[in-house]
Amino acid sequence: MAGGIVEKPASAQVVHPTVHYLNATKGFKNWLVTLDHKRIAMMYLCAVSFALLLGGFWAIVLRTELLAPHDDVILSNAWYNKAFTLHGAVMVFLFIIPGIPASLGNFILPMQLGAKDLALPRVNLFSWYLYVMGLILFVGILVLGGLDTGWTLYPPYSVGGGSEHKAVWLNLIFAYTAVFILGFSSILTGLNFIATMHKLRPKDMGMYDMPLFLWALYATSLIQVLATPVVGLTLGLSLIEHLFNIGIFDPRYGGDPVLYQHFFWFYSHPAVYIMVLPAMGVQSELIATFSRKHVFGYKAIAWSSIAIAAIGFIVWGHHMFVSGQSPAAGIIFSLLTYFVAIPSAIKVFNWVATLYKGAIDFKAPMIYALAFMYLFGIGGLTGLFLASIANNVHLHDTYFVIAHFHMVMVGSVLTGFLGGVHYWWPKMTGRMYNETLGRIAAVMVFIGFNVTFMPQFVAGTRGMPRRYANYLDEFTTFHQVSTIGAYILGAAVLLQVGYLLHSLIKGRKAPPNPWGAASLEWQATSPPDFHNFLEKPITMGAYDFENWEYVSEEAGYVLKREVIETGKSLVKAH
Amino acid sequence: MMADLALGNFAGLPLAQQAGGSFWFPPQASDVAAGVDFTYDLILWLCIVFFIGICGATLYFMVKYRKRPGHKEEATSTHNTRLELAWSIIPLALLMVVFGVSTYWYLRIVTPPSDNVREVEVTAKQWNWTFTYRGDGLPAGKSYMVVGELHLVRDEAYQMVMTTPQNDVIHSMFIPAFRVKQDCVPGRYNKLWFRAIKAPQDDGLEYYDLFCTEYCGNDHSLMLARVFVHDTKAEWAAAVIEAADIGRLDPVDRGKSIYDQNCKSCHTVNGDPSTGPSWKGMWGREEEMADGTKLTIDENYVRESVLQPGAKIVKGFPNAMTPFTWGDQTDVAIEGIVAYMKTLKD
Repeated sequence: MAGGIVEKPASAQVVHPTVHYLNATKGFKNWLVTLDHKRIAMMYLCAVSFALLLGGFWAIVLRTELLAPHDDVILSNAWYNKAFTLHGAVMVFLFIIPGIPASLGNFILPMQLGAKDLALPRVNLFSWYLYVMGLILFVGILVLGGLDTGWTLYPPYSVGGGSEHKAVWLNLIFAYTAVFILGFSSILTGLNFIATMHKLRPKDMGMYDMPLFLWALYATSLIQVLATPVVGLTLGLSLIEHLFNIGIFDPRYGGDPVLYQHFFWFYSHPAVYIMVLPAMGVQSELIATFSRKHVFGYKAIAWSSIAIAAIGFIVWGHHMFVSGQSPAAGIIFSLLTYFVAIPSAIKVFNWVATLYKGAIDFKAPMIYALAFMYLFGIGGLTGLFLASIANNVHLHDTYFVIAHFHMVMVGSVLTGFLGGVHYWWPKMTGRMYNETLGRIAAVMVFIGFNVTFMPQFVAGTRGMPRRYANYLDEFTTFHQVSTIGAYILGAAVLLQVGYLLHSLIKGRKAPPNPWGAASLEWQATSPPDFHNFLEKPITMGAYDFENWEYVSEEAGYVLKREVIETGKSLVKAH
Repeated sequence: MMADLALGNFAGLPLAQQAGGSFWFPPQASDVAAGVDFTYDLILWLCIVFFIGICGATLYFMVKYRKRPGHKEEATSTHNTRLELAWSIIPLALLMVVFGVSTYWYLRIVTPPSDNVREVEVTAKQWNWTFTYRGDGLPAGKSYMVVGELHLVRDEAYQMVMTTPQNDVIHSMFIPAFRVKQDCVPGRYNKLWFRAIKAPQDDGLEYYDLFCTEYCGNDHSLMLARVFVHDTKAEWAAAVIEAADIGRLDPVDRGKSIYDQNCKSCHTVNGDPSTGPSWKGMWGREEEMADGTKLTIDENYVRESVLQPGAKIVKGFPNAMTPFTWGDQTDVAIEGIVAYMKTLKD
């Protein structure tokens, strides 16, 4: 047994453990074969952060190229095309899809259930290795000279149609294999989460007692398990087509490229919700904790996650309104797309209502949560223009779409991720980051997003097509402002990397519960013991903040004496 | 390029007016544009109301309920079924109205008039647009191919019958001023109709832009065309005939234009070998052929290579080119290519 058994004082928790999951066993090898969900989560956090920086690097490169309309500022057309492909593919497959569930979810999910680990620890480790293989393959593509197909890998261009790039097959097979393997990693994580929530939830905790972060992860996992196989099959079909010259997607063999688009978006549209649902889950935790209010409309938020997951499966055709799909199909997909707006709107209204009569504490995670409200508001509402089929015809494949999905994917998912990382950083590392720098970075991120993407909406409605290495002079101002925004965003991310790493060495030691949050992970020490909890945590409602009282900055919040004595929440079940 | 960063460029909104139109949109030059923009404005105002509501409430709560000494949170009810139903059903009802308006205009976009529709054949390939015109006042029995220029008559309905060669990739025709877009998919014909109700000159422009909006490789961002709108059929026919006549161009310009449209994807002019040999310095040089013979690159070799590309291939390159002809303009075309290649001699 590696866990430190520390004698527990009667009325207060252990403040700073000397033995915990980070130092329970030592050595590189112990980490690489660990079955501990917390260590796997930290390895995921390192890997997805690397992917974020890699994808972000390409974003900065391509925004720099777009400073001037015609000249090759730093890139040829060919390299611009590779830059946006690598930016998109790395961000989508390696950061946004796995980011929150695999790092934060992996760490927090068992702890919020008061459990020792995920239901299937070996599968968890396996999924990390699959992820790393996918990451290595993507780096391999870079070494091989890049890929210029766009992250969507549409045939016939991706499979060598047209007059150029005949020799990309090796790179393409790398990309296919990477996406395939990453898909498996994603499926296994999803399965593991579903199994854990059903089998390891304490007997006195019902589904409706779970924190909303877990409901969001549950909905995400459902999509991962059900949708991801489709993208694997699609890429498999494409490979079979090429090896045996059977016409499936490639018109040179009598295939239909639009069929690929149907298959691709059958996965990739639900994948949009794989990305955003976990961020919404983080959002619910942050809003409740930092306004010290029980979240408003718990069941509505919980079920809206499931509704988004379900409706998300039947709207894929809205990516294809101008592909040659029939107008009747287009109109039906447009109608269905409006339905997905409602559960999203419900969540936003509930978050706003949660703030009502709270005591709002503008800690860095809360600044991200408030920024999320605004950025997701814009990202979600601009989706209505795209759901409108008459407007979509004009806006499809313009910068309006770019701005819209970045407001959701970056504005919301990255904001949720950063908010979550700051929120759980004390729990995960046992150290406090520098709050002032944290707030400055959060504000910079907010400003950076707006400066980057607001001009892109107008460029888009005025007709600026996406994936253009050169553009007409009239769009110059939009692009230059946007690039400045991207630099602000880049600077904010570098600042975060700086002060977060600094905190690992010099940061103040974190108390078990610095924020006064009520979900179970805050009853563990910071960082948690190897076995997560020194003794069985007291099951309570995830938003029963009344059970905790503030002691000092050093000790954070502690459980009230009567809670410890009775072993019960002071709040009656709602 | 740094000159482009000069502060003058940030002077602001007037730039957005360069191409005419409003703050949000280019000119409304087709008969559906105003309706599409109306739908946009409808959604925009709904969004503004909701966004101000959400952000206003958030900001108000942020100030009023900020954590401060002496202020403590108050327990409030954790749900309210009536309120929650209201903020689900009202937005849904509003969205159904938007759906109705939008679908009406979409049906207008995709439904061509039943008669009096003129057809233009469109071929999209890497990286140019070819428009083929025939009939309708043009000399009978002849067809006119124009690269990069779409000519229309005001107030007449046109249907684009669009395709892409079997071995090419997906492209998409987008004319922002008309608010229309349709993909061109290899192996099938897609159609797109529109009716221009304004001409570019009405907005002080020379032409409207036509973009490729489906990513198609290296020069995707250069795959543009110009849309001209004429007042009368006679002006239109004269413009089509003139645009189709490549002989009017100076031979070097003619060769350069043919190169840009047809040869560029496989032959560079900077010395780098691609699918085919680079044209830089090729003229007058002695090259070794695939069968080991040697010959000098001259007019006869170029002519043969254009008409029968497989006949003699420079050593080290694949037999990958398709033959090119330009009907009765083949000779002037080859004359142009030769003139252009001569300028690349060193």
